[in-house]
Amino acid sequence: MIVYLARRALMSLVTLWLIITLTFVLMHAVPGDPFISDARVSPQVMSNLRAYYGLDQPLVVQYVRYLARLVRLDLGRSIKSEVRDINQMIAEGLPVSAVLGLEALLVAVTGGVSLGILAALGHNRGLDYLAMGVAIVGISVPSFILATLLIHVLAVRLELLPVGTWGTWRHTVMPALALALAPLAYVARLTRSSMLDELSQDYVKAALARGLSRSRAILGHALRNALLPVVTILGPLTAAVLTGSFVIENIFGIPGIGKIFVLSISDRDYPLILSGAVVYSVLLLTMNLLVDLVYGIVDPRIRLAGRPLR
Amino acid sequence: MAQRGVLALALTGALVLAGVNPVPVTSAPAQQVMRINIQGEPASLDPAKIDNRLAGTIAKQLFEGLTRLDKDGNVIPGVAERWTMSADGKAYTFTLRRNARWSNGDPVTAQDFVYSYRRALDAKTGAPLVDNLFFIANAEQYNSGKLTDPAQLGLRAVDDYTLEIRLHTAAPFFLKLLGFFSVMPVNAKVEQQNPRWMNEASTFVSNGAFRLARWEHERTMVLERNPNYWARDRVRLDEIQMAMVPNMSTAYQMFSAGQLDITAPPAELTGRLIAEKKALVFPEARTYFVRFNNKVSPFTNANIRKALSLAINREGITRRILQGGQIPLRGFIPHGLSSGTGEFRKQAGDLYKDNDTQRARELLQQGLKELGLTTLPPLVMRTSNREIFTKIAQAVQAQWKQVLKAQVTIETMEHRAFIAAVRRRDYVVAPYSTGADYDDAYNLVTQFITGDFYNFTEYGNPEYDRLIRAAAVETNGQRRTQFMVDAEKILIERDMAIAPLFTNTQVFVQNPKLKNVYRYAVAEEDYRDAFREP
Repeated sequence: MIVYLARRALMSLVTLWLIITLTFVLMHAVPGDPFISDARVSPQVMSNLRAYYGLDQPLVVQYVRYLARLVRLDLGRSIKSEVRDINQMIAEGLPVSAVLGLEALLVAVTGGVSLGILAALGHNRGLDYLAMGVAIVGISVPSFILATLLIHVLAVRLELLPVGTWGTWRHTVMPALALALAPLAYVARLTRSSMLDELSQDYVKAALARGLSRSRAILGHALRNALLPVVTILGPLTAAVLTGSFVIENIFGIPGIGKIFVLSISDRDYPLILSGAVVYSVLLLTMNLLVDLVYGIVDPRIRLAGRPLR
Repeated sequence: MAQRGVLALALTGALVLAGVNPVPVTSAPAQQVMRINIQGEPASLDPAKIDNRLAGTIAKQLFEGLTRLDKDGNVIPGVAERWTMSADGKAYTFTLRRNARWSNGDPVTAQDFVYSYRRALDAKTGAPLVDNLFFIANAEQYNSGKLTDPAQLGLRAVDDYTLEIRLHTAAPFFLKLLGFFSVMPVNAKVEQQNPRWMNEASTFVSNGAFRLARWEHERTMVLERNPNYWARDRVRLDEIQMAMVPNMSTAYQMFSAGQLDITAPPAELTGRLIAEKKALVFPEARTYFVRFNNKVSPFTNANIRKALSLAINREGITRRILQGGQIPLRGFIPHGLSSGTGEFRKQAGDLYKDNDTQRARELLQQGLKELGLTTLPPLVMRTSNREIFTKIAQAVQAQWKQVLKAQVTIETMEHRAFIAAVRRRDYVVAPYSTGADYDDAYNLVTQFITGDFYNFTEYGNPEYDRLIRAAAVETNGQRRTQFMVDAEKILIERDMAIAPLFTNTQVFVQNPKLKNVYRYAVAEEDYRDAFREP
């Protein structure tokens, strides 16, 4: 187990390095730079600014400097804003995005799995069509439409919740719902199809033939296997919701880190672009590792250390 | 004083009883509170490091320069109580108020200004708008490293309260420029002790009408009246609460729900709100125009450029497409910008007729003949992906097709990539905008001098160059204005180097109880005299 974890950790580091290098190359290949604007900034001032941020150095030097800082766990300073170090920006913004993301994830997974099971049980009948109808709406309606609708109804019309900004649990309700709908629909469809697969398996028929009640057979036997694909997507899904959503954070004025991934690119804020890539990659790699570990628990047939299956 | 305390207490009690949320932007307003939206965390509150209007507006309330502007945009004393100017317009002596204080109680001295300007001019500071100080003698040389001794700058603290500034050239707008946020002072002592003083409310020291009371990064910022400000008695607002909501629709919903006092409505609502007189419209000294690359055929020909310009229906673009109250331009210099002797646009008048389709067709034929062509070759118009530019591009494309049967293909590019392309002259025709940094037309006219760094349009006319150079050194206001008016006639009426479109505007909705919020075409809003009617 320890050997396995060590090997995985090492592979993850190599992957991370590749991602950083690729991001570094790509972002410098994009035309434009952080200081270019339609304002008339003089060439003199431009070169001052480039020197101030170390962008006058050759790319190789910038690359090595960045890696050297990163090894010391220092993400550096943003070009766009000097108010806080990027470490501080992430430390303050990630928890906000994470709280919102986890709330949404909870809604998405519980709602999605229940909906999926209901649909599978009522296969090709009213309940199925209803559940899948909800899922299709969930996938097709963009989150910003739902968000705007929620604001209009719950905040402006009914005055139940604050329009936007951040502070108490009441501020999280609408963004979490808006964020949850699409993954909820996705999880529901996934659960339904894998549940249908499992229900047609011989072991379920055998269990039923031996006189197990339908609900025991489904919840006790089929569900466990049917959830494997759901667990698989839970890794990337968690990484995605934890790092926030630009659109939702923008609409509700939430101080999360979702905007880092979008605005840093249009700002050509090089250190911030790289930081976004690093944070997201680390989360994604960690989540995938966790998912692999969870496989072993959900399905004992899967062995982690690569021992041959008997 | 005691009365206010009691009131505040009662109000707090009422809030607690009502179970109102403690987050400032959602709380009921205290007696003199203004609630605005700053759209996001300001990138910096260090006057020297700010490069955008939103952060500049905050800095303007926190700091005070040597001068400031009254509600009509005239220069009035700020930290400087009075000043004298030499006959050649190049040397100023400022007498500072003895009662001007920093928020930490330190006196504001001439040395603070010398320190602040030297700091901004030091290349190592990386100040983005430092060009505004380049009128000071030797400033540009010092910034570029050609001069290393800051004592050679045209800046001298004669004593604690007397400041001398020498310019390398007369600049009639210099006093206005001194009220701009980028040239506001910082406290030299504080800055030397803690170079990161400007990043947290607890260490923030400023000398303006307000001080920074609270700054929760990415969430909210609260300014309160600065008890050390020399004119504290005329400041009526107790607090300015600032929300950071980037989405204009959400901010507008907050305004509608009574959680904000001022906001800019989302673009899709401006047309209706202006028509219903629910929104305020202010010109911004920024010209939107279509850039022609004057070195590339067919834009080498003046008649072709004129034809394309006259074929544009500016009224249609502003009224029907953009709907933000923008003002169609019949010249280059935007409305609201000064010539030094009055509003430039009023003095220069109209230089062409908008939507002059008949004349446009005639000029096109004439131009084609001169170029030896029979039809206009297909054109590729590059544009930024920002909404206002893509809308302009599509409108102009349709109008040119309708009036001149021109075949125009639009190539949309990511904003910064687009700017980079225009800068390396990699375009033939493109919608663009240019705005003034200080309230004088001179600020915008130099970019068309032959070979100027910003002459991305590759225009060149020796007569134009001569007039602008003459305006630069002219000390007589009337003559200086005339030089610039004549130059604009050459640029537009004779050569139509570009096709001007409209003067941009800023559109706001504002709580009608809020009074005395001063807005300017060039400078940032001023809240010093603002108050809320009961």
